[in-house]
Amino acid sequence: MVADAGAKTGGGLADRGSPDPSVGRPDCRRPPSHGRLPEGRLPPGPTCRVDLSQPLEFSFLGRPVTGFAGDTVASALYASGVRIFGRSLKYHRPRGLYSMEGESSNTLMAIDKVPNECAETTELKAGMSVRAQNVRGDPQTDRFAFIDRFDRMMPAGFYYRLFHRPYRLWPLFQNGLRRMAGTGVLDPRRGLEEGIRGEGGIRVEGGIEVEGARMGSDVRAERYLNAEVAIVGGGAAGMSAALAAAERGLRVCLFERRPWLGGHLVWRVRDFEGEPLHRRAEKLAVRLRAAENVKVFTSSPVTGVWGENLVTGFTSGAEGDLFRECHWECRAKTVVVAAGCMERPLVFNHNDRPGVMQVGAVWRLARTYAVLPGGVAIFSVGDDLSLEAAADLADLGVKIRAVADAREAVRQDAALVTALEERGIPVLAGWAASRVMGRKQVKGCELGALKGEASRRFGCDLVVANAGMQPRIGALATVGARLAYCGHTHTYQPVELPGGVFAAGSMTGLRDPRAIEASGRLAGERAVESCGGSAPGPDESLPEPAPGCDIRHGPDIGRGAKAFVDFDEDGTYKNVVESAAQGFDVPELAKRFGGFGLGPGQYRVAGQNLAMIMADLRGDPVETATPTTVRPPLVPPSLATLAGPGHDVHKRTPLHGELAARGAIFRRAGPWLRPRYFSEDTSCRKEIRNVRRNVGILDSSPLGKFRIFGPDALKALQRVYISDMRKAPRGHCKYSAMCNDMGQLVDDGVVIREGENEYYFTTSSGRAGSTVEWFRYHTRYDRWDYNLVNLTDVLGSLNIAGPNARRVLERVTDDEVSNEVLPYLGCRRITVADGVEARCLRLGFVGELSFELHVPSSYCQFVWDLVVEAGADFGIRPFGLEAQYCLRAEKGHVIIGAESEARVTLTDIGMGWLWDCGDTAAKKVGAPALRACEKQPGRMRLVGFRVDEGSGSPRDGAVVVDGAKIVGYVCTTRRSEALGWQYGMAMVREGVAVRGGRTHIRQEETPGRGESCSATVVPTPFYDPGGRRLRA
Amino acid sequence: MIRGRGGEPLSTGPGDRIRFRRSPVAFPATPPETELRDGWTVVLRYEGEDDHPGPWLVDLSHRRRWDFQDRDIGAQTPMDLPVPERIGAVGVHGPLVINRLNRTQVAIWHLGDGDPPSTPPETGFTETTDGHCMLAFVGPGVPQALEHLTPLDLFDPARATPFLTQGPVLHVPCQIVTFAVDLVVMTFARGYGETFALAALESGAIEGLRPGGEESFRRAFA
Repeated sequence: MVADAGAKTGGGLADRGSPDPSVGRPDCRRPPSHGRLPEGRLPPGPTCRVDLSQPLEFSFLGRPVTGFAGDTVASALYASGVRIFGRSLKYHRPRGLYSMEGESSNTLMAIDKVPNECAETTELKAGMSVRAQNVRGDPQTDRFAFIDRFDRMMPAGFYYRLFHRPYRLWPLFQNGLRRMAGTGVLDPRRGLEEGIRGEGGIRVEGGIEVEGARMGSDVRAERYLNAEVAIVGGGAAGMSAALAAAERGLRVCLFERRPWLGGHLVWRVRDFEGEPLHRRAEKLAVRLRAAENVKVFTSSPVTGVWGENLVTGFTSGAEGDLFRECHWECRAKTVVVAAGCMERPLVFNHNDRPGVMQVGAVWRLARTYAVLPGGVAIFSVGDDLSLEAAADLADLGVKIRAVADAREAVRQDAALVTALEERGIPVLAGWAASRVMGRKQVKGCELGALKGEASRRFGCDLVVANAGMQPRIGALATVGARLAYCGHTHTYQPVELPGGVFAAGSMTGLRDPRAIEASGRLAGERAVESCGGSAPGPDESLPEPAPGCDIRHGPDIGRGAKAFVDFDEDGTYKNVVESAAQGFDVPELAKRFGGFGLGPGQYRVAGQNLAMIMADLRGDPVETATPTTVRPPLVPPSLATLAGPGHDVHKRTPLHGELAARGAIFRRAGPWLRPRYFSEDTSCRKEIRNVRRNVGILDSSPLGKFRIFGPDALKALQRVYISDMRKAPRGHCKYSAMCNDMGQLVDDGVVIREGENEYYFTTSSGRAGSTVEWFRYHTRYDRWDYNLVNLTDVLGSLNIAGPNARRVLERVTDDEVSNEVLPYLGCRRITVADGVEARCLRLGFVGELSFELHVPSSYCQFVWDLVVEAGADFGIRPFGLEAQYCLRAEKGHVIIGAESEARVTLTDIGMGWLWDCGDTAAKKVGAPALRACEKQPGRMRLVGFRVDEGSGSPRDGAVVVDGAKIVGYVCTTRRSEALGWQYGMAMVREGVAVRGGRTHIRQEETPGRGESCSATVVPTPFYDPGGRRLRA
Repeated sequence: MIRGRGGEPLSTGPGDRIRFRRSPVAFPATPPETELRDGWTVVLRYEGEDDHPGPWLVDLSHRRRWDFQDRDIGAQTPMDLPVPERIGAVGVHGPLVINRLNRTQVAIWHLGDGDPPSTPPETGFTETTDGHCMLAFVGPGVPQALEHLTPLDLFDPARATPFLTQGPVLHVPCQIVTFAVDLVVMTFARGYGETFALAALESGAIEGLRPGGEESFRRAFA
C-alpha cells in the first residue's frame, strides 16, 4: 500500500488515509454477521484491525479455513487452531508463531504456490492457498521428525567435516542433503500457467486497450523517489521527525514496514497524559497525512540504506493495487532512522516450541487481530513493556500464572508491578524460563531463579518470552554507522553516524512516549539544518534511556542442545559452545561455522545473543564482542521484484511494423531490433538469390548518419579518419575507416562533402551512439571550431540492391540516376514522389548495383511503399541482415567484429590502402601504431579460403591448424550459391597466409570429437573480383 | 510517376497520394478525433479522455524541433530567441521553447499554436523533428507517474520552472523540460519511441497514466 499524502496535488495511488483517527483501519468494532464471536476470537477492541463481519475463505493444506478482512495469513491460521506452521530446517522440529513480524523462518510458507512467503506479515486475501514448507506429509506428523533425536550426529559445522571421507561417497551425501535441505519448492509451471506477468491478453477500458499482461496480480513495479528527508520507520519518532521537516517545507518520504503508522503505540491502550497511547499515535498520523509535502509509504520495509543516502525497499501491494510488489529507491539529502526496537529472544531449553512467542506477537494477536493467543500463559521477560502487556492480556481474559522478569526488582516500573499484583499475577524478579514442556505444543514451563537454584513448574499452553528489547540497527548498519555495546541499555547503539544520517526514537533506548516523540522532532530539525535550513534549537531535554536487561540465557541451560540461538538454521546454545571450542570463537566465524544468522532472520534473532554468549564463553567483557555484520536486504523482497518490470526498451526502425508484417524474424543488434531473416531458412538462399539476380530492399536505418560543419570540420575528419579526407570531392562518397590508438579498425563508412566546411558521413550502426564523443575526445586539446549533429534517427535508410535496382529507382524519382550522373560511389540529392527529399548514395556493400536512400524517418514508410510497389513487377523483396552478411562476405567486404578483433590492425585485415601514411601533421588516430606494426613479422593476416569439395563443411569459429598447432581461426564461412562452393575468411598466422597455400580446418562440437577439412587460400573478393556488377 | 515496365503510369501515382508521415509512437488506444497536419496524423483526443482525470501521455512527435549550435552561442539569437544563459535553463517565447543544452548547443521546440517557422538558412540550424520522439506528460499525477520511470529529480523545488534536465528515463537518454507540476515534455531518440511509450504506459498505469490527445497538451501549455 502506497499512500501519498500529497493526494491534494493529485497523488496517483489512492491515499487510504483519512482525517478520521482510526487511520487505515476498517470499522473493527462491527460485530460478526451472525452475531456470535467466531471460535478463537476476542471481542474486537479499539485497536483491532480485523473486520469480523467480512469473512475470507482460504485453504490450508487443501482444507478450507475462514479468516477475516484485516487478518494476516498467520493470524487467521492461529485463530482457526493451527499451531504448527512448518518444520525447522535441520531437525524438522515443529515450529509456530513467534514474532508476528517475520523475524525468523518459522512461518515461511508456500502461499499461492510461491514459496518462502512470510505468513506473519502477508495480508490474507480470499481464495489463497497456503501450504507448510520443509514438511514431509502433514506438519503435525512430519516423516522426518525423527531427525530431532539425532542432534548429536549434527554438531556445529558437521557438513564441513562429515560425509567427505571417503571422498567418492560425497556426491551421494551431497545429493541426499540437497534433497532434504531447502525450505520451499518453486513450481516452474506457475509462470507458464498463469503468465509471469499476470493474466495476459488485452482488455478495453474506456476505449483504451490496456495490456492485461501488465495488470495482473504478479506485476512488479519500480518507483524512484527524491526527497530532502527520508524517514525509516513510521512510529511516533518517525512521524514527529517527518512533521518537523515538513513544517520547514522540505520534501519528506516516510517508510513504514507495517500496514499502518504508529509503531508499537497502535496496539497499546494504556492511558498516557489523559488519553490512550494508540489515540496519540492516530493523532500524529492524521497530522502527518494532512501535510502536503510528505509521502507516506506503509507496508514498505526498507531493504538497505546506502551511500549518498540512498534508501531502498519495497512496497507490498494491497487489495486493489495494480502491483504485487513495488521496488523503490529514494534519493534523499538526509535520512532519519527511527526503526524502533524488536525483542531479543530468550535462549532457554525448547524455546522454539509452538506456543513460545514473543510479547509483541501475543499482544498483537489479541489487540490487533482479536485472536485469543492462549488460555493459560507464563511470561518470562526483561522489560517494562512486557509487564504492561501482561497486565493488558490479563484484562483481555488470558490467565497469566506468573511473570518472571530477568531484571532485578529495582529496575522494574513499580506501577506496572503493582498493576500485575492487583490482578493476582505474581512477579518473580530475577527469574527466567529454563525449559518448556510439551513436544508439538507447550504444555508447561519451568521457571528458575537466575541466582540460586530455586525453580517452579507451571502448566500452561502459552509461554511469552523475551530477554528485553534490542534496537533495529539494520538500516544504520547498512549505511555505515559505527555501533558499540552500551552497558546501560545492554544493546548495541550507534556511536558514530555518517553525514546526514540521524537516529531517533526507541531504538536509541528511550521508552517514554514523550521522549520518543521529542527525539523524533529533534532528528527532524537536525535534518532541516543538514539540508541548509534553519531550525530552532532543542527546546526540551530528553530523559535518559531506560536501563536494559543483560540476560544471556535462561537458568539451568545445561548443554543447551535444544536451546535455540538461531531458529532458521537450528543453531543451538550447544552449537555455539562447539564453535567456540573449535576456535571459531568470534561471532563472525561462528556465524559461518554454525550457521547462526545465515537464514532469513539474519541478525534479528541470533545477532546480539550470539555476541553476548560468545563473549561469555571467551571470558571477555561483553563490550568487546562485535556482533555479526548486518547485510542487506534487511527484509527480503522476491527476486522478481528485484528484477523489476522487465521492460524491453529498445530501438526500432521506422519500418519495423512493415517488416514484421512481412514475416521478418528479428534479432537484437546493439540497441536496435533488426530483421535477421525473412523466412525459417537461415541460409537465406531466396533472399540472396533475389539480390544477385533481381532486386532486393534492405532496411538499413540503424546506419550511423552525421552532419559535421564549421571552420575546423575538415581538421576533425582528418584527425579521426585514417584516410586523406581533403580528397573527398563534392558529389562523391569517400570510403574510409576510423582506427583507435592501437591501429585497430573501429569503424568504417563514407564521407561526403556537402558544402564549404560541411560534411555528411556515415558510420556502422554499432558505433553511431559513440561517434560524437569519439570526435570530441580525439580533438579535446585543439579547441577547434566544429559542430556535430547525430542524424541517425533523423534519417531512415533504404538500400535497393540488385541488377534491377536502377530500374526500380527510376520509377519513383524524376531525377537522373544513370551511371553517368550517379556512378559508383556517387551521391546526389533526389526527390522521391514529387516531394520527399532524399540523399541517394551509390554504394556496393553487397557487391551489386545498389542505391542507398536516406530519407526523413517519418517518410520512410511512405517511400518504402512506393519502392516496393514500383519494384513489384521485378519481384522486389526485402532481405535481412543474414543475407546482407553473406552477400558482402562473397565480395570480401569486412564487418568490424566479424573479421577484425583486438589483436589485429587495419593493415592486418588488408585495408592498409585506406591509410594516408604520409600525413603526419593531422596526427591521425592510430597512425603511430600502424606505422609500428606495418612491417612487424609474425602478425596475423586476414585471408580468403575455399573449402576443398567433399572435405567437410566448417563453420564460423572453427580453428585453422597446422598439425597439432592452432594457427588461426575462421571468421566467416558460407556456402555460396553464386560461386558454387564454400568460401570463407580466416585470421591466420603470417606463414599460412600464402596464396594457394593449403590449410586444415578443424571443427569440434565437443572436446575430442570433431571433423577436419582442408581448404586453399584464395584471393578476395570471391565474387565479381573485377567489380563490374556494382559499377554497372 | 510510378511507371510500368513500358513506362506507362501506374494506376496510383504518388503525385495523387498523400505523402503521409508516421510518428514513432502508436498508442494502443482508439482515437475518435484526428487531424492531418503536414502529413502527420495528429490525434486530438482519445476515447474516454473526458471521463479520466489524468495523467495523460501525449505524442507530440509531429511538433517541429531544431538543433542550433555555435561556438559563441551566447551571442546568437536563433530564430530571434535569446539563448538562456545557464545550461539547463529554458526560455518560453510564445509558441517556441528554447533549451540550453550545453556550452555550444540549444534545442528549439515549437509547442504553441499556429504554424511553425521554417528552418532558417544559417548553417548552425539542423531540423531534428524526425530524429526524436516527443512525449508530454500532462495532468494531475504526473510526478507520481514519472517516479515509476526515472530516478531524476524532475520536480526539485529549488529549481524554478521551466527547467531542463538531461538524463535517463526508462534508461533512455532524454531531454526533459519541466514546465509545471502537471506538465512535463521530453524528447529522446526516435527509435526508442514505440517501446518507450508502451513501457511508460505500463509503468504509469499504476498511477492512472493513459494515452492523451494533443488537445489535453494544448490546454496545459496554454
